[in-house]
Amino acid sequence: CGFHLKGMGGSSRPLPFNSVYVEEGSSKLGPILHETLARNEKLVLLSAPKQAEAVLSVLSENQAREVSTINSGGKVNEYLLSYTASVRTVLGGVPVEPDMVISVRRYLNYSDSDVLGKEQEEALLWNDIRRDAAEQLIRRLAYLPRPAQPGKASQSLKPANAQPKP
Amino acid sequence: DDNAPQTLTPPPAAQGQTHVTADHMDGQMQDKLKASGDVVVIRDNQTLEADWLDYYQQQNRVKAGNHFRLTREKDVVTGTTLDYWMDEHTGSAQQPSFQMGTPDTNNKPGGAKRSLAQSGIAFRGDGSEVQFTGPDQYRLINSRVNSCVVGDDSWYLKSSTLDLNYTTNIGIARNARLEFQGVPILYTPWIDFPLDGSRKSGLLTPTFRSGTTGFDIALPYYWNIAPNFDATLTPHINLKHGTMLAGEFRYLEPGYEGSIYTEQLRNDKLTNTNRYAWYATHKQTVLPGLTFGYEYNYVSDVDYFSDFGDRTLQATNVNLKREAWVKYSTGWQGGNVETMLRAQRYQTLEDPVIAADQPYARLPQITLVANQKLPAGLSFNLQGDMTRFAHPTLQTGDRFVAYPSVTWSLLERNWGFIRPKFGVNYTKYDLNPLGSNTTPGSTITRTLPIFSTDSGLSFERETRFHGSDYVETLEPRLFYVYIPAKDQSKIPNFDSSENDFNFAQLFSENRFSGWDRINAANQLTAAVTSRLISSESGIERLRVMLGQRYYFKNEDTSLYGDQITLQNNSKGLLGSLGGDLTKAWRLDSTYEYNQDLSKTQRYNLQVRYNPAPGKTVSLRYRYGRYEQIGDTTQYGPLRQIDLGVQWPIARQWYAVGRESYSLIDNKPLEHLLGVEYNDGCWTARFVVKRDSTLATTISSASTSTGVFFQLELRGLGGLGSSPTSDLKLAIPGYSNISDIQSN
Amino acid sequence: EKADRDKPIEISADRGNLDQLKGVTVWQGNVIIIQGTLKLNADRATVSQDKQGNQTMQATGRQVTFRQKMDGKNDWIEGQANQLDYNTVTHVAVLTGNARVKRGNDLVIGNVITYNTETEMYEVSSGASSNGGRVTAIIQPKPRDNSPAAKKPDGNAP
Repeated sequence: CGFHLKGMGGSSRPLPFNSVYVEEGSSKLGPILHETLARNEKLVLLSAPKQAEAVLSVLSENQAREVSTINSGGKVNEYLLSYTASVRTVLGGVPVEPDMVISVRRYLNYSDSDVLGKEQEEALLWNDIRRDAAEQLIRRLAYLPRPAQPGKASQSLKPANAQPKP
Repeated sequence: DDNAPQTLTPPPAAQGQTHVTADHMDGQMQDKLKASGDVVVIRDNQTLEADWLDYYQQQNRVKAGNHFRLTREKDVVTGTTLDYWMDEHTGSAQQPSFQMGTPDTNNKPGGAKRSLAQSGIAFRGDGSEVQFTGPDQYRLINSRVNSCVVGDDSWYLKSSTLDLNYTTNIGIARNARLEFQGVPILYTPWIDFPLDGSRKSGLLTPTFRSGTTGFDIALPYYWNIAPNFDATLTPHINLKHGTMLAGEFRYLEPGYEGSIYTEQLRNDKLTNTNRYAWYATHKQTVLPGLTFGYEYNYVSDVDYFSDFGDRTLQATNVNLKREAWVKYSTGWQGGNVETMLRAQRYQTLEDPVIAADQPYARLPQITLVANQKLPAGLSFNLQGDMTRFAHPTLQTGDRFVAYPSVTWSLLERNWGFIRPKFGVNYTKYDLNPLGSNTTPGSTITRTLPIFSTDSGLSFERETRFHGSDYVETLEPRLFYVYIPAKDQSKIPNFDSSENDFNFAQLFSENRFSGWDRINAANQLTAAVTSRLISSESGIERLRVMLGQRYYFKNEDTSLYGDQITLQNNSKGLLGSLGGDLTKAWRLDSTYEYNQDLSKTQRYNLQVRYNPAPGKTVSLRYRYGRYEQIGDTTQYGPLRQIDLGVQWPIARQWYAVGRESYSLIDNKPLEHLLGVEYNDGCWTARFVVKRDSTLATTISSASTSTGVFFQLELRGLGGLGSSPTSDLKLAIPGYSNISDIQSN
Repeated sequence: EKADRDKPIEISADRGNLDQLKGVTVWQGNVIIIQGTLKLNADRATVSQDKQGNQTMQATGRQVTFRQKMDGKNDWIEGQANQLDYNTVTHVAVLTGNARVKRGNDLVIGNVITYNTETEMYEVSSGASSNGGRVTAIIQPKPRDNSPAAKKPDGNAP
């Protein structure tokens, strides 16, 4: 039915860079972006922006917990957890316009009798939301417009055979 | 003849050069110049046009008359006579009318040095005299000003002196009167307001709220003490209860930030007790990675919010948290650790308080989370928790938890992964004697091995859908968990509760949160996710997920800790379909099927159409077989439909509405209807909101109505009670129409 | 400078002729008149002298120019026009026809400029010119008192 393993056949889209530095700042999304990128074995993760062909920086991140349903007894039984983050990618020294913005939502079923338990369940959902946001952002990296001419930094770093096949 | 002087060319343009043209001129070189007849003076970014002009070169001072027009970047001041020192930007002019910055809608970045247009708030008006008191600073005498286009006199702020300072972007009016359509609606001896629309205004905006909680007039007063420290003092006049003073102090420094909010009512007329509320938060970074802070919420009595709050406040303030914490986190190559010490307790506002509803207090709690990468694809994780639980009535004691685990990235590719994980959860309880019985406290330990394996593959193919290219993914995932059964009925339940059955929970080892209950497990969870990803941007347009859990041994642990046997060996079929289909259409839906009862447990469907700001329709239907429908002991079927609409009904007119209806009780829960009018420089809102709660075991049925009327003057602030926060909550996608360009 | 008045006037030109009776001399072609620091160039100049010895001068040409040093300051006054009438008694020079007067870095442009070399008073008007011409003054920012006096404009060695 035409399915192939990701990255194995068809016009799979390689990432437009071979080395990346994630500028985490004080965001919670940063470490998860770093961890998810680390799973791609063809990618070199650096700890400083100098040599990196691409620099990802988390510009803004905000999360809101809003009442989404008040039941007929006047008690909250559902919160909406909404998360938005914006990430800037600098490819070969040139920032890619516009910045990537991602928003993810989850509903948290709630009851006032389980305050402590729900506190942890909410944390579980926030982690799930951030992991989902990181995966979507990383997937969108493959679709970023290629820089006009690859930055000088990339020349020195490109190992001979790492040219991804078109 | 070479030594004849060449033709005299004008000197090159230079900073500070003054260029004067007129019909006639006379004067003394380098001293004084008198020009008359359509005089135009251009100096750097200042242009002055007048009928006649005297220019005193030594002082760089100009006097102009009969009629003048001074333009500097976007600011234009016209008037009869002018006396102006060009260098010091000081002087005065008579009968001025002024236009401070013209709002050009497409404010191009990198425009003039300081152009008001970038901030969009352009004030204009006239007065008897204007004094130029420095660069970007004006003082207007007996002036009237508004932020409307020329010729639109819908409102004016009239004042005896008005200081406009465009370096600090603050306008201060003294002895000021606000006139709307010619009718004076507010007098205030002193107000300050933002010139770039950024900062809250100090305007004394009386807000009033009426409804079943009594009539309440509030006069908030904003005081910007320092750039990073401000306060809002709000006396509330409540006819039922008496006058209450509310104060909010906010501070923001590089190393720390926080706020303190309090409401104080001395001697409530109804209860003749003191009523008060405190909400304070503080967060401070001492060293990189070392932070501490507190969150303090406390009210004087259980009925505080039913007397002073609206339905949402009552619903969201059942348990008020009081907590102080110190957190240290650090990282190194391949690992990190975060540890926290905190004391936490809750104030439960229930009358009477049901014991089970009152959460335990953690006095104190120490948590630790550590991760460390190991060679050969292994990674180590340790979670630790040491807590002393206190409770007025229930069993109290200390608990120590240590849960080390190792995860092995057997396969780690972007097309697939296999991650076996093995850990041991060791928990030790030192329980105090319960109540009056004399038996000494007891000690319980529980050690449970936890084995799990998470694995998944990722397939892709290109497809076309509705004429555009997509990548369609197919992501099967298998998650196996093995945890031996263990009776935990003797273990108290300090902080465990059953998690909602959703996709995040489907792939976690324990279906209980907290540490007191660990479910027995010999189960395999299978799920498949399919996404439709747009080929040009990589944005996920649609996501379908289907998941189910299979039990190899049909035994499980209940919330009470005892072992239960399951009727059949699969539980909970879960599905979800949703995504931002297009820029305007958004779909969210989830479905849960309960195998034990072979019935639908819960589903909800939400569709939102939001093509442009100010245009949104959101419809949501929720079905629940067994949900909390009243207070915490009242469960039953839930069928609720919510409709939220904001739509333009005529040029500059918008209707807003919300209908929340409980189909099972056949009763409306929330009505909200309102209309908004935006006239460019002012916006009016009139909203009526009626909430009704049905009878529950501990509270009788009640309805509360709220009437909001607000007049928002662009750039000056709002007057009357602002319904915008209610509207944002009630109508998903609601946008403040005063931000939308009135087309 | 005021001192120029007592200086002798040297006039050089391609041709010159004297009408003794009326006391009028007419010079033509590359006329250069020098009196102390005053220096004037023109194509044609007629100098007439009344009985008391007061001289009036009218210089015309495609472009009449003159330069004179200011009193006491190290500044020069320069001017140009199609026609210049100068009266040594009133010390008033009238420049007509796209006239320009430059003093230090300040420049005045107009159709008719009357300038009193002694009081430095000037008057600029569009005069009877048909297109209702405008007059212009370009005034340089006066140097901050702490900076050295304005640099002498180069290219005009005394």
